[in-house]
Amino acid sequence: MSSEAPPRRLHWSSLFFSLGPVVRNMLPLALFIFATGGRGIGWRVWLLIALVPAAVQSLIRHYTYTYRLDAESLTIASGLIARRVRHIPHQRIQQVELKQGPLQRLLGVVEVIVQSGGTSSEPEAKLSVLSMREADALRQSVEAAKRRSNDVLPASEAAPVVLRLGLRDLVLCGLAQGRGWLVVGGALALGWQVLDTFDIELPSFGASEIRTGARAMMGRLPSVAMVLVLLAGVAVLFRILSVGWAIVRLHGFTLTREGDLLRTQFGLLTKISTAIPRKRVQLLTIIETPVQRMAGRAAVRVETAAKFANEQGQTGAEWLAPVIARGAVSPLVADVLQGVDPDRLSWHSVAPHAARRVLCESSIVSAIVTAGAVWLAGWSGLVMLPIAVLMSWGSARATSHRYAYSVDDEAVAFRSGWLTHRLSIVRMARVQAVTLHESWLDRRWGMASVAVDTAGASGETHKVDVHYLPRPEADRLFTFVRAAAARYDSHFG
Amino acid sequence: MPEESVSAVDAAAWRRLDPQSVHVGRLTGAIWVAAIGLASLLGFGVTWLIDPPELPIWIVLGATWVLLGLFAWLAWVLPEKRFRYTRYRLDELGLLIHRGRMFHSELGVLRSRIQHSDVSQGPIQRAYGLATLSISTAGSDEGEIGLTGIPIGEARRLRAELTGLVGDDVV
Repeated sequence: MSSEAPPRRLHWSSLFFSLGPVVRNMLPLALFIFATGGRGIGWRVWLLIALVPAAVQSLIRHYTYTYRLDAESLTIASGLIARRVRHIPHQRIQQVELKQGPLQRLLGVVEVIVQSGGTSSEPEAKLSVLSMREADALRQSVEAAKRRSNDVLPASEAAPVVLRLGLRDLVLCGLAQGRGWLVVGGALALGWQVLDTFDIELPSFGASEIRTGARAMMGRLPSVAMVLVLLAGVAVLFRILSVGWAIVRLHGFTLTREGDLLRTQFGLLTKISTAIPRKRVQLLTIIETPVQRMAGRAAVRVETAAKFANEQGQTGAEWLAPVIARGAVSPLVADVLQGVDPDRLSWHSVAPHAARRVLCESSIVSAIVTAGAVWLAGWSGLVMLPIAVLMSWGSARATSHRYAYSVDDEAVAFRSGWLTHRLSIVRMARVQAVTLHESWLDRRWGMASVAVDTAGASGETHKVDVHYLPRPEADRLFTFVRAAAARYDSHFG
Repeated sequence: MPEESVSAVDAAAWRRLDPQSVHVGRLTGAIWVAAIGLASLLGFGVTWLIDPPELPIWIVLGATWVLLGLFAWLAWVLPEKRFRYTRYRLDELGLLIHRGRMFHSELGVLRSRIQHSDVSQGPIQRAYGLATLSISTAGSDEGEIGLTGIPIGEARRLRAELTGLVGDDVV
């Protein structure tokens, strides 16, 4: 057809970027060889030869991979022998994400990740890499098509900025999130890799060595204090690393609202920009860590239906606001959830004896843990006891004070947490299924739990899963949510 | 807590799995136990020939028999339990499934949220005229819901009613 747009290739630099992972995997080996000087030149030659298949593959991929952008769809053709043509209507695209690493920024190119709401764990398409101009064209085309059919509000000329984070916010965000373990984990993994590569053997301990070691350590309490100081030091270090992580990753975070689209843009080295249609929000969670509460802030994240995990291990979960003034949460959430205001929900607490049950059960666990510590380290293992008691008390308190749910015809919400407060909201239109669980323990206490299943809520995020409900109330909640959700007749909307 | 706004539709009664599903479950279990037993015997035999371990043979064989006995017991008991505690009901909102006793659960799948549903039949199920109905929603925890051990006709009817294909019995 003459009206069809011509197929296009990826940017030429994609040749190198597709080599990237291969080179990255070979890096430890290469480092080792170059560091030890190898044995003659042979090793280096072999290393280069090992790169040849990858290079050939990269070349073939580059010259067989084409994409075509029409007004209504994106068509991607790839493969040399088995040709694969993938046709993605703009309608089905959930989200277009642009990602730019430091090297990519230098070249003015960007990686485009197209996501649809399928159940596969892969993104629908990954165009790596396109020039900035072409990526923008792709994105605009998708959004224009969506706007035409979905009756999305027309985008205003200048998209209003809902939230912009400065350096102070980012520092706070890092302090609150404690993502430092990510950095440390990375360092550990690297260290492991080095040990592995250089074939260094770690001394191995048997159970008896651990036992005597623990005994010796616990026997001298001053050294325990030292350990505690050390732990505190590590904790502080983690926080500092976490702040660094936040500053680098969330640099220049802005949230804009453009018609029905929520756009976020952030990143110092790797620039990420996402667009989430308001309708695709499945689950919204408001998080308040102790640090955030002290500073009068909160964080808001949303789950979209995109079920894919990128390198950061995120599964369709997006920060709507990594840190935001507490007062601004309510209007933002009400806007995103089309009228559901988190500050005007009426909360119902769970069974009055929930705290007693938690205390009871966690005491049993504490007793077992303490007994284990005593077995391992002698009587000084009793040090564990106050910690265990404190934890039991904390979880019991959390269950009695914050633990509550809210439900009406529009949405169902659940909040919990003692130190870190979490509040999750699901609009009835996004409820996929309702479950009631009653374990034998629940039965002894006359309780049951009710969980609301949504799309894209995989992973360990806070969900609407209300435990410790009196059994009759659980039945009523189950029936109510089922009926309220059934009134919305749609999968994704 | 909101007032009870919807009274359950009692027109459709609770239904149970087909009693035959107990036989199917036990047969399937028996085949598994036999396969595991054979594989472990074979494994032990080969290990013994190549490198006889120091443990007396009766300990190893005894432990294997105890484990196999446990599996066999589970394979005998579980299908019966499943039959006894599973029930389901179709109402105008969707499908309700109750399962289990020790870990009792009640699942409510909404008709309008069903993405697709399949009816499948294993060889043993086929011999008894039973089938498995699986229902997919976009959900993350309950995205795949299976109802195993209902008559094939019933499974097709359920699928048709749930996906709005009533009277259109396509397989």
